[in-house]
Amino acid sequence: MKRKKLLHKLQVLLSEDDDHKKKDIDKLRKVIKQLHDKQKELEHKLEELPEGEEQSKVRKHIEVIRLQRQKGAAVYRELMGKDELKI
Amino acid sequence: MLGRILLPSIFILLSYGFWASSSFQDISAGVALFLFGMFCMEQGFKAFSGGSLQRLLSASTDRLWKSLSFGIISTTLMQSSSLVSVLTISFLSAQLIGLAEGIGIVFGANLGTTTGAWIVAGFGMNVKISAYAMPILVFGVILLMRQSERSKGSGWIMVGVGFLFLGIHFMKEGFASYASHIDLTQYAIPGLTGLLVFTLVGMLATIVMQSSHATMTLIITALAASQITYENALALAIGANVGTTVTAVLGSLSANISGKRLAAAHFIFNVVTGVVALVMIEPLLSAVDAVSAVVGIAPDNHTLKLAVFHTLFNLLGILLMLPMTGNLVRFLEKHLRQEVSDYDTPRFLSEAALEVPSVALHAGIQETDHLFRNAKNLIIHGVCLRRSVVNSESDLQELIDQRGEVIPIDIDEGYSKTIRDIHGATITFLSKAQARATPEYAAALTKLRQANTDLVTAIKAVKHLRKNLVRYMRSENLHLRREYNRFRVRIASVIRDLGALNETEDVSLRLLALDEIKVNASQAEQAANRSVDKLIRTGLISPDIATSLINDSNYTKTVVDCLIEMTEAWNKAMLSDNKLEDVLSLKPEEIEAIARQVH
Repeated sequence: MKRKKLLHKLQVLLSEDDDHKKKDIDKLRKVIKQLHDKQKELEHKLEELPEGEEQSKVRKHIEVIRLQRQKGAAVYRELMGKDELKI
Repeated sequence: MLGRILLPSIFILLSYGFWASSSFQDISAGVALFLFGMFCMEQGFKAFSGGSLQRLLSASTDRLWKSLSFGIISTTLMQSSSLVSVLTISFLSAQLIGLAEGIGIVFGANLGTTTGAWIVAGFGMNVKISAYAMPILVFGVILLMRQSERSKGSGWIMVGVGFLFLGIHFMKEGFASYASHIDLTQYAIPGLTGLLVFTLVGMLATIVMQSSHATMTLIITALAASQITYENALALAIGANVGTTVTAVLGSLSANISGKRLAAAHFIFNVVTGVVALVMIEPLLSAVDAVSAVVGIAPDNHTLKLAVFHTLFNLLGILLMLPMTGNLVRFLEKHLRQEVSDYDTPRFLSEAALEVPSVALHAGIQETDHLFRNAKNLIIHGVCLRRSVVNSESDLQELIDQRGEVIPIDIDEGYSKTIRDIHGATITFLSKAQARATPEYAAALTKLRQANTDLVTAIKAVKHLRKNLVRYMRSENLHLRREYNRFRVRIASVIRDLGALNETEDVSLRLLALDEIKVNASQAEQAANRSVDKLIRTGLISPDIATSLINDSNYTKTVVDCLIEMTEAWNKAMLSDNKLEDVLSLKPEEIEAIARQVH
């Protein structure tokens, strides 16, 4: 078991694909976090806005971010899932 | 005409030389191999001059002393001041560094290049250098066969070093066999005349070989074989230093104004240093003797003493010129100015920038941004709006009911003056960059081409839209006026939103934020279509005007779409990999669905 783990670690070290994947995961994490922060900020803004065109605009903006985050979470699960299978 | 005569003449002269003397053949072959080695090394280093060099450069050139150190170290490592000069010109042309920093690098490169003389005199003359050349060549060729660009780069460098060593070996052999037949020192000229004549010879040799490094190696090997006198060798070294600027000056002819200024600074530095070295030859020789004694160089070791001299007079030049860098920058900026013209020209493009793919990409990004700014102004005025209004936070919806004020502008003339030349030059530049670029840059360069094309398409659509817009935005018919003002507001809104994107530093987030702009644009388009349909249905506008309105609505959509697509392509060009942004971005049907939602 130990040898298997060691071999995997070596494989990860040597594999360019895994290196790229790690970079992708880090980047994805960062982007999802920033989108989350932006969504929170917009939700606070929405609470203060009176009903009208501006409010509708902010709602749509939130919807855009929500969908993007949803896609990001799916990709993240996929990337992490593959990683777990290998281990 | 001169070229037609010159080249055959050189070939005939060389052929005669090869026939008459096998030693001459060895020396010429040595020079050819040495130059080829330099070429291979330059190829190799270019493979490493991508993003990492750009990052290193920005971190190590923010102060003059750092630029100077960067020039010294990079030239010592790469053993080619020409390559460092070319890279510096390319960075300067793309405005990655300023003129003062560029000057610092070039001054440093002059000192760094003197390490070549030390290596040749200290190492090349004392060991059987060809014994090292062969294994290095073999290892280099093996690396060249690998797929990775970095391995190939290392391979080119090793092959280059191998050929450099082989070149030195042949030069040594050539001069050694000359020594057994003929004594070239009988042509030595003593005194001031000799100093001036051999300085000129050194200059000419460097201009012909386009490499002061090759000239210095030739001088050192000839000196080691006692085929030239020490005194004449010093003059040849001064000449080589001045001659090398001709390469930089010739290279700058195709560069933009920044490149020309840097080449001028290089020329001034080397000429001043050369003149100072000639004038102060006696004190310099005393200094060489003193330094040699301190570092343990034997009084009769002329090759190493030549290396000391080479370093000392370049160091003297730096000490003299460095405090005057500020004045030099002001002088060059005052006397070498961009030609003032009614026609805007490219600011960031140059042949030098094409030398390094990452710099070419940076220059393309900057120039496309320049084109975007000009296009934006033309579009804003084309739809009869003021930049101050679009760039403010005023409510654009207020414009819808108002009678528009016509801004007199000739779109064709504006296009000729502010777009055509930049667009043409950028497309040509990007095509050349694509032909030279490694695969990792190909996609980004294609995106930039697309961005440029989008801008021109947007301007052409504005030109068509304007024909009816200037008339109907002032119409007595409120319904019609509103529709045309809506076109103006749609365009102004998207320009305002795209401008606001610049507040976000992260490129990925900028690309994702485009989805919101797309939603707004789609919503505005849907509203406009509904409104036009209603006007037609209720007969509030005639069928002729309805046709114009539908056509002009399409032109508006073209302008909006092109501006968004241009921004998307431009931002994607900045990313080495935009797979993630593509996956996270919303699909057109998702954008339309959100735009249709009523909250």
